[in-house]
Amino acid sequence: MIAFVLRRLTLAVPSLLVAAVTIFVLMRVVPGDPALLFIGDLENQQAITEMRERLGLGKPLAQQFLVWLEQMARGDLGSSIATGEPVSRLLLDAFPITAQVVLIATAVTSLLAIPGGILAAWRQNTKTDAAILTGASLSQSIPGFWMALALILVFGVELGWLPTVGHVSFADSPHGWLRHLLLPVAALVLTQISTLTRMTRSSTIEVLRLDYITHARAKGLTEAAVLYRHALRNAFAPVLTVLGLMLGHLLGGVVVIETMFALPGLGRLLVDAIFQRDYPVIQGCMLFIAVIYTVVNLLVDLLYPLFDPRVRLE
Amino acid sequence: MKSVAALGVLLVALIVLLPALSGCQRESRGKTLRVSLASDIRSTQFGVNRDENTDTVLHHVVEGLVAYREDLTVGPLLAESWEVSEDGRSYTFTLRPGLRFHNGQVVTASDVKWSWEYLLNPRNRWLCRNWYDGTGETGIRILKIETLDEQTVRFELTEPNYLFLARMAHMVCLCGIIHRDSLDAHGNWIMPIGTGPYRIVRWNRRKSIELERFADYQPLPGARDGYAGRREAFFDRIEFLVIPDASVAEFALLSGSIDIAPKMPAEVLPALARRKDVVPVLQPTLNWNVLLLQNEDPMLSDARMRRAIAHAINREQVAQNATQGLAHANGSAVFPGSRYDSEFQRRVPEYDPSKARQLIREAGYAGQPIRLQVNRQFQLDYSSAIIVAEMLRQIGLHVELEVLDWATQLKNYNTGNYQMMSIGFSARPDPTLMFDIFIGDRKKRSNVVFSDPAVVVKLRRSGLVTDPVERQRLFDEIHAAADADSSLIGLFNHTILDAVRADIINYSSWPLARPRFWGVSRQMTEGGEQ
Repeated sequence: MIAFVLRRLTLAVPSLLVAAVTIFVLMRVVPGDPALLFIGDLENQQAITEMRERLGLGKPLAQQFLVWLEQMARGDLGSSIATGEPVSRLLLDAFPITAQVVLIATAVTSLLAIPGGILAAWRQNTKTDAAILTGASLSQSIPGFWMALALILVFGVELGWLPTVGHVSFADSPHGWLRHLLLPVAALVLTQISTLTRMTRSSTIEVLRLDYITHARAKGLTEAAVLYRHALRNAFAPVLTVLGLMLGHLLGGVVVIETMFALPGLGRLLVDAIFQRDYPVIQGCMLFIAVIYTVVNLLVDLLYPLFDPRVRLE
Repeated sequence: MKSVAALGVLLVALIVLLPALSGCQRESRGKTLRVSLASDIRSTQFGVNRDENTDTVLHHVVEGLVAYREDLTVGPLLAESWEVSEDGRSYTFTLRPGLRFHNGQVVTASDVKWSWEYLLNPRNRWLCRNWYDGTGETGIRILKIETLDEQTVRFELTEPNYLFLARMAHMVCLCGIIHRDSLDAHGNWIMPIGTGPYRIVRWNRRKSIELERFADYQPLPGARDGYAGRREAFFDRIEFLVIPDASVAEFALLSGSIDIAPKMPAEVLPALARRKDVVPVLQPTLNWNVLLLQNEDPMLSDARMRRAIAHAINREQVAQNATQGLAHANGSAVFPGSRYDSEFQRRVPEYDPSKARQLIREAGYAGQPIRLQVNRQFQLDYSSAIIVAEMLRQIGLHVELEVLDWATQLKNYNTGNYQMMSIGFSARPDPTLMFDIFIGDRKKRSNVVFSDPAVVVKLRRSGLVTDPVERQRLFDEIHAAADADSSLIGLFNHTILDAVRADIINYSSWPLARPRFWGVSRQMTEGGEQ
């Protein structure tokens, strides 16, 4: 397994390098001048020129790229043009906020969607199945921002039960942390739950039709044992793939949710940096997101054999 | 099935507990004012790494010698008074007695001298150094700063300049007086130790910034007056919450998570006006929306084309429709109501579509497309562009809207890379500074649209002379020349909308549109708590 992990990590290096080149070139192709945005409305051409020189924006593109690569090789992602803070610190501040929302939401989604999907499959073509499918379809058809707005209006504005903006760290106040996370997590759960429910349902239905399930029932096993011991383990592999993709995607930043609840997470960091043409932050964020995808995919691959013994890590 | 049941129980428990969890929402709310901020502050180094939000926060912490009043004249702040020498080259400021920094130290003239020398030192990268070293457009050059005694400091200029005080009071480049301990032993910036009514206690980057009332603050007598006047703090704390989206700020205000949401879009006014728990505060400001015409473009270099466009635009209709009826047309860089406003400043080409059609025929226009650049980040730029484009189509111009992101549009503005552009300019308190945005030497600044040397000389002169009558004459002549050229078509000044919870007392805005939270308090509850 260690050899598999090492091989996968080695293979990730060229992918990350290609991602780095793409990100770097794309950002330089997009019009906009970070120095101009930094100086703002001060009408100071000399300061703009000095700023460009300081940022090395006048150097050839290849030279700028090599400087960045060399910095990265030293583990230095550079500093934000807008605030002067090290990019690594910005990522370390922003990512835990995104991760908290996403991991909790994914856990809740899994806890609701997987049993829900199994139940729908078990009760296929009954009222229970129809109700679960309708709920899933409804959730899928509602855009994330709308869901967030509805929750804010009901629980924040009308009932006044929960705060609608901001984030409190767990260390500062566990109570405040919970209150501030409830709405964003709920919004994310409600927008993600349908995919996982439907995937679990279709995958379980497929497995329930197989001969070995009939054999298990013929042996006199209870339905719960058939479902959880025999059906779920085989049906879970495709669900795990979807879960991995979902997690990788969400950990890269949930821009809409972060914007709607004023959460300073990774998605907002990236979007703000794009508007500011804050090259070091954009490059750092994108590369970090690429690393997240790589790691999550690797973890999913490592988990496959746990559910499906036919899978071998070679 | 057990886990589903357990989850159900958990969800029900959560819903039941939610109201209980909300109990702390009003914790210590009375003594803290919560305000939304569209983006985090860039730094605590005023004038070095700044934007409008940074300025808004730091104006509560750091103060200069003088500041703008609401009538756009310059008033005292740390200075009790000042005298200008007969030759107009020396400004002698006397400090108010009893002033203290946030660390308890007394403010002296040598602190003023040290602060200014710190700002003017090129090593410290103060972005407004060129306003005072003779290299800037207005030509002010400080020759010497000397202390005459503990309370008196004198600034000597190379030549008289009316704009010296205007620059010193300018809200964008805060000329703050700070204590030397704002820097570490190596001269590196730590945090501003200023003299303002609040001091910074906590900065949660990208989340919030918290200010605490400075107990030893000595407010000026009288009433609050712009950035000058009485700065008495009533709230123990101000918490600025970073909320980038205006709709999110609106909901945060309605839910009581914040007390004030400054600079809301005009579209929310009808919804706010229907509520009893929120008060909309409207204020006409100097921020100015305009249409720029690139007179170096082959088609628009013909003055008849530019003039035709000026005649084709019904400015009042643009102002009314773009701002939901909150603003009126203003074609001049001089703000209506300013001491330099005059009947000449109100003269602009009348709305006359037939005359416009005749002019484009004379210019030989043959239906070529004209691109109008705009962004969607600033809603007024965009709404104005939509209306203007339609008005121009009515006279037969083939106008195409080119929607860019702000960074791209700003670059194009700065390099002159456009045919037409809808853009807004932030407030400059003095007409010389406002005209300076678009009049100047194109060889030095490619973003100016009017470079007539005679007008540029008049503009420079308007900054040097101190006689109001002569300044008025110069402004009228400059406006007339710029108007005839029609490379800039002034549309309207913004009216800003700040939304405030109904229990907040004495919040008001002012023409420079920078929120101030001194003098603001919360209505007393029955228990007597603020």
